[in-house]
Amino acid sequence: MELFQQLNQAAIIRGALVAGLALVLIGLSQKVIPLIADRLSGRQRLYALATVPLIRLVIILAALWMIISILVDPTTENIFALLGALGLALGFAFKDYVGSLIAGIVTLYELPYRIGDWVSVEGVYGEVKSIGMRAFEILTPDDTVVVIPHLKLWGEKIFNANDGSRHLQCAAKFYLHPEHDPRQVIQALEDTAMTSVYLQISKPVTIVASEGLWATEYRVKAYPVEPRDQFRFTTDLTLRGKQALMALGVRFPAPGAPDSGDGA
Amino acid sequence: MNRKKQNLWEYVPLADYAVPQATISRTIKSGIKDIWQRFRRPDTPRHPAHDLEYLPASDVEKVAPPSHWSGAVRALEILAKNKTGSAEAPSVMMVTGLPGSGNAQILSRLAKSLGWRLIPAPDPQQILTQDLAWLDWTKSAETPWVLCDLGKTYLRHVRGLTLVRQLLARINSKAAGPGVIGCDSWSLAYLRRVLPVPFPGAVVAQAFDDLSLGRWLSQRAHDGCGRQIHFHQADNGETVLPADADTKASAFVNHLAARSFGIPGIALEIWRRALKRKPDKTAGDQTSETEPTNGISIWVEPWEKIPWLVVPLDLGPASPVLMHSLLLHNGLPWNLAVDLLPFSATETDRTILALTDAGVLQTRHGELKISTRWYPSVKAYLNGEGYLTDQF
Repeated sequence: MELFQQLNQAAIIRGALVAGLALVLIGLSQKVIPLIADRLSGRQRLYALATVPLIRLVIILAALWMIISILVDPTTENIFALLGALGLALGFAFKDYVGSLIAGIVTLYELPYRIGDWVSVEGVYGEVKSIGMRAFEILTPDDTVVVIPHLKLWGEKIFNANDGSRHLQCAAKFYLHPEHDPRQVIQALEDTAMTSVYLQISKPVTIVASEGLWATEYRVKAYPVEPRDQFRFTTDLTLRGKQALMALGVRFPAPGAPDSGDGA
Repeated sequence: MNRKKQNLWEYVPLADYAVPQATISRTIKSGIKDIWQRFRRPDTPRHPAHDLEYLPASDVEKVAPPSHWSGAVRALEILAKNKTGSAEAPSVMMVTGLPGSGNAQILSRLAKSLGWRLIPAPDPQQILTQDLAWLDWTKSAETPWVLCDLGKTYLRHVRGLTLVRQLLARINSKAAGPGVIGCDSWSLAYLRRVLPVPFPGAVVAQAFDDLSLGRWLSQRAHDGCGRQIHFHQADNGETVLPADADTKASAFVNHLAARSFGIPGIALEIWRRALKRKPDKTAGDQTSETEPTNGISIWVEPWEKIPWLVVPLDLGPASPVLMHSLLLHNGLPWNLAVDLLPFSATETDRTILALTDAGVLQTRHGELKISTRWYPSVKAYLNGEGYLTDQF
């Protein structure tokens, strides 16, 4: 069985040309699509960015097929023999790398994270900025890029705060002295959320209260218009909510001092 | 001229509002025409666009003067009398207005013509201090009243909703007596989300479709110049106005009605910037030798050359928030915008200046507002970004 075709200079040049062209196309798609996406509005931007890894995969598969066709006599036996040999070699040498590549392919249809999603992996939280074949990059709120291999998909929990949509819930917490009028507090906190310029008003505002050891905890849960504004939104809710509560005369107990205030 | 006397204004329930659309065939046709003109052999057009110049402001004022909304006031007078009931069985009618529709001016003129009380909006400080004394006018319920803009009775601030809540409570309990209340469409969209209370039954001026818009623009030109004006497309000389038939408007006016959402104020603003003349000819004063003998001609920029204004995207995080806030409040004084937005004064000032430089914002009657001709682009932009927009 003759596995390889007659390798001559022309075949090698053709193979190299295909590989080079594939690289150029991948580079172009990675530059041009984000540029186009930046000119689109929110939802369309996310859809456009999501096509980048897909296009790259298609280009790589097409290029691989063309190169194999150039280098190998493409009979069924030959293809199986080649893939088997490659799999054995790569399995030993690049186990994790290949695992990441396969996980990268899995992400294309399982979509555990997409560009624009806000995810948390092993305690690192940030926005997914790019998805490569082996790894994806997230940008943390502190402007640090973290590269995470797709391999994490197999064993780690991946928390996705908005899961491909624009709806990302934020929560602002308030700790109040137990002696207060809850109706007044709920109204003030609801007004605080409803009047925030960041609020996605088509989504519900929820206020949850629970009793703690030293305070009553209120959580205002709401959605910002733009997920990137989540920290500004929470800050806005916190600061204006505190002002509104102070205007009501509500007291804020110091942590660990349950009797602060009137000593009751 | 019968058309001139016809009142084009009609007030309808909000659900009956119909936004005009550009016909698909015209959109395709205008696209193909544009491509064809790029490739065809250059010939000598009857009125080449490069020979024309934009009308000077003084001529624009004559050919396309701003509206005094008389037709709208006339249409509302009868409706207001019928719908507001009496002191014994009072009812409040809400008149919703879209940006550029002149709603506040119309209601102000309505109050004057009917002799009803015109209620001034509360001062921003009264809103923020929750000064219920402003509502004292509701105690004398005998005379009908007109409040031009409900949107000026609230602020998007944690203490900014009390007055409007109390006002709606008094209206709903009939304590305020009969009246007419105006409300900008964006304010109404916001208040309906925020305040879970019944709102008075609302009407809105029906959008001008292409035929109505064409007649209205012709009326404006006739009123401004005192005689009939013919408008021709600058690249091919085709008639833009008046329409050749009562059943079909020109392609330009069809596109104009769609882009302006049928809001006459916005259409007029775009229209005014599309008017051209031959050099050294003063519109309204002289007649060109090529013009019809029964009037004067003005040239109109082809629709394909009317730019779709693109909202600048690189002006920082305060930019969309500021534009949205201005629409929800139907304009804000500069200092109040600084107070309401959760940014430093420096950041807000910088954004206001940048948007003003770009032409997106303008100051009218001491308030920052979205420029009328930018409104379609700003609305499309905010809608795309997921912000609450009006229902129209």
